[in-house]
Amino acid sequence: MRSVTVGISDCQFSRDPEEVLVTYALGSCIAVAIYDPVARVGGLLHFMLPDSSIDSDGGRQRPFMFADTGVPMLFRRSYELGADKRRLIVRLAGGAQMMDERGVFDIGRRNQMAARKILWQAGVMIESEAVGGNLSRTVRLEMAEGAVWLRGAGGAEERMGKNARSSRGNGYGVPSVDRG
Amino acid sequence: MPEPPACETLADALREVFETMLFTCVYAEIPGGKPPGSIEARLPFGGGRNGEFRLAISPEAARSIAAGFLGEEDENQIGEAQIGDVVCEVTNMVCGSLLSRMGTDLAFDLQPPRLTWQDAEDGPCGCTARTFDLGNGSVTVGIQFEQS
Amino acid sequence: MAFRVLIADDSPAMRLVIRRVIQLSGFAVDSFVEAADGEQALCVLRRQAVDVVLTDINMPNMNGEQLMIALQTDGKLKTLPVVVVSTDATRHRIDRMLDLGARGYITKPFQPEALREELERVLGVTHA
Repeated sequence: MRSVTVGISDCQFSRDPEEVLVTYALGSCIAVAIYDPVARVGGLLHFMLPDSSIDSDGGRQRPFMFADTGVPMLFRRSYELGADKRRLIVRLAGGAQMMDERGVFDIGRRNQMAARKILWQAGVMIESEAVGGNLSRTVRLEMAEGAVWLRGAGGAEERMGKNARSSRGNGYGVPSVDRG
Repeated sequence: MPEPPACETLADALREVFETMLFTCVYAEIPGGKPPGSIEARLPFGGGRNGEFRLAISPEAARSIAAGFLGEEDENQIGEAQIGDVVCEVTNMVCGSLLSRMGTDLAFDLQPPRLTWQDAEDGPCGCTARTFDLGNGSVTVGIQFEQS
Repeated sequence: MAFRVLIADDSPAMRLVIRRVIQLSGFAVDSFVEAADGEQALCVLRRQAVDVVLTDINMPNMNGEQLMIALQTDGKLKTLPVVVVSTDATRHRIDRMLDLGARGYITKPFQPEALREELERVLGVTHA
């Protein structure tokens, strides 16, 4: 398998089943992995900040740095490569609470919300996510079958399943209350 | 009568709702009462303890959260009636979240929330009212229990 | 199988969100019907066939608990799958609604995916 690295504020696409898209050191940043299992088209975005309005040119030169410019572009380019919105499987990872340069912890949470808001407004559901906590993550998307693998700092690698919700621990639903 | 909720309890209840379904951060508490021109809802509740919960949100923030809640990309497409309805449902959810955090022995029945016009009061409910920064506006919440 | 869905909630905004989640989740939906309270919901259920009900608890006229009691006493409706969508997260209320026959329960606020998963579990299907 050939490895294609997705840097910070970067996005890569593939239609090659021999390729693996990988991005490292996801702290407060968010990785958005998308895969169309029929067209075998996939993309991996690594964005840093939620909102391009802070950028002097509105994210035009660095669209993948921001959620509001990067996520739509991730989807648009995947359509150009043959992906169908209704078939796309979407996974999120990252958004940890790390101390940023302002000494503030909230960028990870704001990134999570920005990604979820954009996807909700676009009418896209998330298959699984591994967000929050305070550890850095590495994510790779295997183009052969669309499997997404996750590794926490110093931890073992695990495949993101359907409901890989991680350390946010929100418990907002009441799962598994079926008593018979 | 239950103790008024701590600031952090109010903030946690707000964050649970605002982050999950409105995609909005709730920042620190800020001085000052209800924002000018705010959209306010009141929600009476009964059951274990009777009382009233109030939520007031600045108009720009109200429009933004309504668009987020409904999944509408263009905030200008949201009508005033829809904004009011979203504010009512947000009031319902924040009140439910807050009462759940104030003790498991508090069984409660929430009445339908209703919108109220801003009046001359400094805050929704006197001493338990607190205002939080939303970035593009603010939200003020308060709860008052009847004397038992 | 295409589902006929009834959504009972006194908030038009919440009904819209629930409907949107179900549509985006890829479930095969034949039709949606909405009700603003338990009384309207019961009226709908006695008039037309529905495959699944999503209901709030705190509603005017007839609340969700009263609706469940009414369904339990109706021979044709007592086996209808009901998922409760409510702000009430107390153990007491959850147990009460499940005792009254609800098959699922999700608390507000919820992420869209959490509602989708609860519906998949109750309906025994996976989304498209």
